[in-house]
Amino acid sequence: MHIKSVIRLVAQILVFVALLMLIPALIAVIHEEWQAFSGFILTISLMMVLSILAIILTKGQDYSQFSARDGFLFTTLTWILAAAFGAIPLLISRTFDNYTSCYFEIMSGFTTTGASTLADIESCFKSILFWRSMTNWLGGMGIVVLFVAFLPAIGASAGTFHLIGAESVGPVKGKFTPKTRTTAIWLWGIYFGFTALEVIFLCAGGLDLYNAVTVAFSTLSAAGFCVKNASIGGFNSAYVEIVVTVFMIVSGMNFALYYKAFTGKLRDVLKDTEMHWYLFITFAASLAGAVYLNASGTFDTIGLAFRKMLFHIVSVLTTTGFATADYTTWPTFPIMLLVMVTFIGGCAGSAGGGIKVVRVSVVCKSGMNVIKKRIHPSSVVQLKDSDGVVNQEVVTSIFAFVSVYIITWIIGSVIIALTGQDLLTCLSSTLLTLGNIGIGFGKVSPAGNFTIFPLWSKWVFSFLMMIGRLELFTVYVIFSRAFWKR
Amino acid sequence: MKVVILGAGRRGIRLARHLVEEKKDVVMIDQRASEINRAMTSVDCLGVVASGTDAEELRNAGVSNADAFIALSGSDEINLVSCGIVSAEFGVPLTIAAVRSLSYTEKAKSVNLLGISHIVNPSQEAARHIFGDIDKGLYSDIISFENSSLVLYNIYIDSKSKFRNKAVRELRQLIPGQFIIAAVSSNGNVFVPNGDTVIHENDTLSITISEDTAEEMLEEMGRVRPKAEKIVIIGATMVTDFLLRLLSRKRRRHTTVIARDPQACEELALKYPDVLVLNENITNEGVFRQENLDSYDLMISATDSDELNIIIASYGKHYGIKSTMALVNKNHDFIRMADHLGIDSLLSTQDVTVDSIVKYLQGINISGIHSLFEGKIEALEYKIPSNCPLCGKPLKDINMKGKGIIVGARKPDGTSLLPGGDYTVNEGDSLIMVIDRQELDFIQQLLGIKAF
Repeated sequence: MHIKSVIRLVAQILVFVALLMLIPALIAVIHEEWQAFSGFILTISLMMVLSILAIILTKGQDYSQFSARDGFLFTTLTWILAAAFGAIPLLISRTFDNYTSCYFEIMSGFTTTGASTLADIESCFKSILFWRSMTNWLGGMGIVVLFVAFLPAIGASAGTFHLIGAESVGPVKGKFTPKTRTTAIWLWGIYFGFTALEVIFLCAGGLDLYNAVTVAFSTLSAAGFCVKNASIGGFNSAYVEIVVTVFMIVSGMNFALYYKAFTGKLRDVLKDTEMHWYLFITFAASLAGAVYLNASGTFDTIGLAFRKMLFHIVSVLTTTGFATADYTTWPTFPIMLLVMVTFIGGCAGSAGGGIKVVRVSVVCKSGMNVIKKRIHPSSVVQLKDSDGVVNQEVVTSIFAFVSVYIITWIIGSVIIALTGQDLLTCLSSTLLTLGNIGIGFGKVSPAGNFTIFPLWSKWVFSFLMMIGRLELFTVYVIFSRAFWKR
Repeated sequence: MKVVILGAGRRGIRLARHLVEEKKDVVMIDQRASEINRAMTSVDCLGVVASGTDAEELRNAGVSNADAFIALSGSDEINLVSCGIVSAEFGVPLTIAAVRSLSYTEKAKSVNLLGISHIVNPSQEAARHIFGDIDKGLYSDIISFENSSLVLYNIYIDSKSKFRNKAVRELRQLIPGQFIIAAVSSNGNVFVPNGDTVIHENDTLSITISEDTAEEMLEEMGRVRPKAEKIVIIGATMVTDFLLRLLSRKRRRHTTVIARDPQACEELALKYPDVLVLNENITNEGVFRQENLDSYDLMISATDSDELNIIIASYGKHYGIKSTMALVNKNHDFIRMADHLGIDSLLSTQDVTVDSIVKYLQGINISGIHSLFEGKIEALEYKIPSNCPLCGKPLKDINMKGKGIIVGARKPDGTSLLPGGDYTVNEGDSLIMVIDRQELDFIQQLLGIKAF
């Protein structure tokens, strides 16, 4: 373990986050929100002073010895502290009267959960809401990845790979260019490009720049914060709904595929089995739900029903958590479809959270193999995906992940049950924070929010959001004895 | 600059690490997923699980737009075939294959075999290196340059050293004879010194001196240089064969080979009648006594077993052989572990192979490249071509920005000198430079070299 190197690197990243906070500070100046402005400036100064102090105290540390273990500690610390400092402007600007809610809100932002404990969003400072959406955007592709892309602090050491590995999502941590830094630059480049594209489309649909940028921030990161009380429904525009749907689908796909498409390997992209599963689930569930909604008379036309169903299926599947309607008033069948996709999540290497499509597909394929093995006991069965045979070690780690995910969900629900809420709300609120979804069922449906929960439970939710975003094990290893002893 | 390396074994990873430090994009190919995993976590490179002899898989791995392809798998055949495929199918401009069972001479290098640009034979590289060490002296920390009488020594500054607490400028007046301090390693920091740099106790200096004055200089600094007359080589391997070929007839007469394999012994005896070949198992205690091995100046332990080489070299030293040298073929890590066993020189086949490839990649005019202080600093020899931007400039006008230092020069007529500020660079001169590896870009720019 190289604690000093870890601290030095965390301090550097916080300087970086502080500089990024100048953007909402500027927005505060434009809208003359001086209370919010002072919040940002005080926070920036505090972060700068503490970070520079830490950097000076840890002078002379280099990162050539950085191991995977240091990567776990570094990534977890970065996320805890980024949320801790990011929450301060909310407290100073009196958005909440207690720090716990501020921390919950910003952790929900960075982890791209999008669960809110704000009762009336539209009455808040615009700059604060902008910062909230910006944390979504920063967390979507990863703060550490951004740092690696733009600050060559750790150079070409192999350690960089451990850093990205601890933050990226999916069962196999990969990169698609020889240099980790190039991969990070590509990821952020693609991410930025799509965000800009969505802003252009939204502006063309009549949204002002502020609304377009905040919506785009929360769409591409699959996060779900919105500056409207009624989420995307608040814009009251079918055009906006469709644009957001398309870009949510984009955010839930593996970003390595976009790189391949850009570099002329379209054939490889079309062969990707995870993408096939992802698109199949999206459209099959939407179509089934739409037919039912139309037949049951909830929506008059099949077109409208499909648009509403697709929006919410994509919103939940990619773990974004936008809404244009309160689906809890719908019949049970379409709601059940939404519950189903809650357990799936986005693709590996995407901005989405949850269990991930690839893990679900491996679990299903393993089940099929067991059936085949029962019929032909001596048959040779191999688990394949588009890259060839899936390594048994990877399969084991996938099963371990899914099991630990479900155990975490259940234990989390037991703890949250102490708040006295009903069964559905407890189960749903835990799952929507662990999966970084942001909307659920019961009292945490699109119509509700987290104001109903007592303060202590918000720390539990914050923790669940963080371990969900960092895919459990990055955080869990730090709590293991072996991590610190040997 | 994209380099594809086939074979993610230890050798491949060492080369990859070196190339990544030079800011090149490295892709590693291996059929073993576990090796690829290890490579990707230890070097900042892209790993692909693929076969080296399948054109389609090579294309998917991105070989088609590579600038160089280096085949370092364990099999000669795979290395040759893959280089052949890559140069014929994708037209990769530079292909290098490591082939054990093919020896080449300067002439044979130009023969176009399967379109391969360069073939390295690890055994031959090792033999050359050993020969260089025998030729120049027997320090593990000496670097000699081809065709030059200049040598680079590492000296450790202890509490009695004259160098202690002196600035480099003062030392010039204090120590008679010419020398240049090329690099200083102080508490793990390695840097190129200037006139004001003060030398402290426990520092290690790398200095260049001329061979003619080396003896008196080293005596001044407290070291005496042994001469190797009688040499005993353990093992009748390909390295032994190549080494004997390099030794002069006169030298061979004082050389003994001890090997266990009767057939290999017979072959060597037939090929080199001047050499005394003994068919004996070196691990028998009797051999040392019977053959009076303590009367030898140098023992080179070059069997196929790394462990045996290290044990024999260490024992030989304790038995009374003046200097011992051990060859390490497979496990490079043994070098670090065996450092404390009293062996004078440990030579890694992997190191010399990688050095040879790097030297080839860095440009044809660079004729010698050597790593100092665990590779943080590099000493290289560069022959000035007619179009070099440095031609006609005096040394004091060349701004190295503290990133490197010119520590020696050799005229086309073969004389070597330690250049002062007034020395003017001319076409055909060879300059010996010591540079920080990270600054290789800068030096290449300064010299006007386009790296491959």
